[in-house]
Amino acid sequence: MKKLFAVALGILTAIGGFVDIGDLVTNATVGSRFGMSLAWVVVVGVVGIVVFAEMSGRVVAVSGRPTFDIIRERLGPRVGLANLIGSMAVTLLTFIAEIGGVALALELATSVWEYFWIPFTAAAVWLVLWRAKFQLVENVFGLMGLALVVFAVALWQLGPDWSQMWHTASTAAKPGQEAWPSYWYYAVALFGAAMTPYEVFFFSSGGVEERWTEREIPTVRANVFIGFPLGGLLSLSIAGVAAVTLFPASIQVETLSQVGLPVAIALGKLGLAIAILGFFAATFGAAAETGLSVGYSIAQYFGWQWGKFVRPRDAARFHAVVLLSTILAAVVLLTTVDPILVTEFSVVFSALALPLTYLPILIVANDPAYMGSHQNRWLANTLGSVYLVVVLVASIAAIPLMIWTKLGTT
Amino acid sequence: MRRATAWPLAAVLLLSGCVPASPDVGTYDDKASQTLGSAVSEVRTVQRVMETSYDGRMLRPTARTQMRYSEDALDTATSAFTELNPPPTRDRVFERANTLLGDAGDLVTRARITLERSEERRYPGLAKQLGRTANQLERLEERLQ
Amino acid sequence: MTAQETALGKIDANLELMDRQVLDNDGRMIGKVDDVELEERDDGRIYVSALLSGPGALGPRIGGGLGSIATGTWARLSGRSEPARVDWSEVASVETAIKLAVGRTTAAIDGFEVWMRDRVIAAIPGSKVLPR
Repeated sequence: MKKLFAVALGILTAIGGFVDIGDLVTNATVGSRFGMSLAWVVVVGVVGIVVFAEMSGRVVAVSGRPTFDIIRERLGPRVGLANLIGSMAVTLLTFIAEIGGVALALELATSVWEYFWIPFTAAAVWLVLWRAKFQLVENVFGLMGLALVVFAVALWQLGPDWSQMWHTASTAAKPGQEAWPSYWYYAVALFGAAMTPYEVFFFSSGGVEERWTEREIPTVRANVFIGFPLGGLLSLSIAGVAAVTLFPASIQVETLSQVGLPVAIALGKLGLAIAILGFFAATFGAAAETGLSVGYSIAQYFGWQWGKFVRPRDAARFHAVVLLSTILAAVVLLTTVDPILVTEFSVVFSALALPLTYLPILIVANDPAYMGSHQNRWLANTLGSVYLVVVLVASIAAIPLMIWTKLGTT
Repeated sequence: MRRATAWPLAAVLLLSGCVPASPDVGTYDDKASQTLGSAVSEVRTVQRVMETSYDGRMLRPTARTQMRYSEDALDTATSAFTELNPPPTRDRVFERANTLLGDAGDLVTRARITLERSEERRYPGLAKQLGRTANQLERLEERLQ
Repeated sequence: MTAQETALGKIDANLELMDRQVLDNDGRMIGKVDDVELEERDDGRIYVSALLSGPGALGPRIGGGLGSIATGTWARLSGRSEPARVDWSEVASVETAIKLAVGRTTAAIDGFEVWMRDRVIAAIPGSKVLPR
């Protein structure tokens, strides 16, 4: 019974914790501009994150070594350092976007200017990272994030022509008024949003925080195989409601309130309030995860003590990194940069950085010295290799497409 | 649509050494239709906010936040457009777009004030006017494509 | 693990030692094997005599401008010219991580951690309590 409860809790938090500011903004933008014609990318992205999260979860359960520990060991100090710098830049950018997202959610709830909220948000995020236990962060924000199920309810309430929707989605029919480069730019952005590297850093480090062993592998798999695809359905619902309400009106999503607008149309005040709560939980939870991920990765590269299973004074450099990143994020946001713009950059740069994370995981998951009998089997290897190609293509295409389409505006 | 207009604007400023740009007809049409598209998006968003507010489906803080963004974005779009020097053959497009963008700006401002004062009986009228202006903007945009 | 077993050929220092996590006798992470110190004994074989850790050892391996800046800054701040070392006799076991038989104070390879703890982190309220 207790075991069942733990599995259920894990799955629920995996669903609620799946969506972050990048998923919210990118899915709504894509739904409003391309209808459901890019839904296939979400599916491809979700399968990808499932494949690699399972792999990194298995690696950490068997060897006790999280992702960046392995990256350093496999790639050596030089390439490992280059990888660290690239991955950290992207995770930090995502961290900034998430804190901005929390401030935007608070603005929607109060109409008080977003920049007013930033110092408070940053302070609250830091306090959670300093004082709250790992499981608490994961469970509280994961469960609160389930509020985003309201998007699925809204879609059902709007009662779209499902067969029409399925047709657009299954034929990937690009709307006539949009250009192909923008279509592919958003395909890469959606892929980057679904497969954000921090998810793997956080997931594998979380395995050490929660002391996974080989016995936890089935639980980990349940979380990943059930939780992530259901989380992906939330992403699709966000795109879906935008496709039904905003796309026909030629409204292009540029703000978080426009992400929530379809829910207000479908379900009214209560629905919108739940959606805003969902925005808050999803972005706050992801802010905590990305903030930790910055600390995890740097500490794992240099071999410093890290984690929330020890007292902060016993992981001094780790906590110093977390504190400095939080201050940096607040300072960057207080220059009044638009958090939505930061988010767009963060998902594109995520796509660019994907191979840095996923290649080493695939290599180690095949290493018998590490994995023993839990080495990758043919299915994981086939999928992993196919995805490595997809990830490389997305990574190479990301920046040229961004420049060519001027961030998708043409 | 802050970004959609900020990019071309930045590009224009860079290329022209900070004097208003004089693009050729094709470029002008592209930029004009892009600006009009952004304006349509903002005007329709405000229209939806007025409609949902009237129906009691919108939260007030969210509505106020969106009004602020839409007004800003429409301003940015309008000035990005008016700063371009139209080619002589596009004088009529320029006039028409200018008028429509001006109307849209006025309507959005009025919508914001009405919402602040909670004059609910005026919401439906404003929503209708916003819808009409959005349609006119959209027709002009389509003509330029 | 004895010194004999570490003769090159028995253990691939490059693959099984380099860049691995170092844990103290409490299981606490105290650094990486940033380099190893080798020694030729009378039998003509080469042995790993010590693990080297910290920027003093990592800098030269990264190389280039960045590497020398790292080494230089570290040497200046720590007032040492040789990288921090852990004698092979203090190594307890070599698995996916290297476990030491001594505590972090004896190993003394994480001076920066101590500085950060005493000067910065300890000053923040709640630093001595486990997260709840």
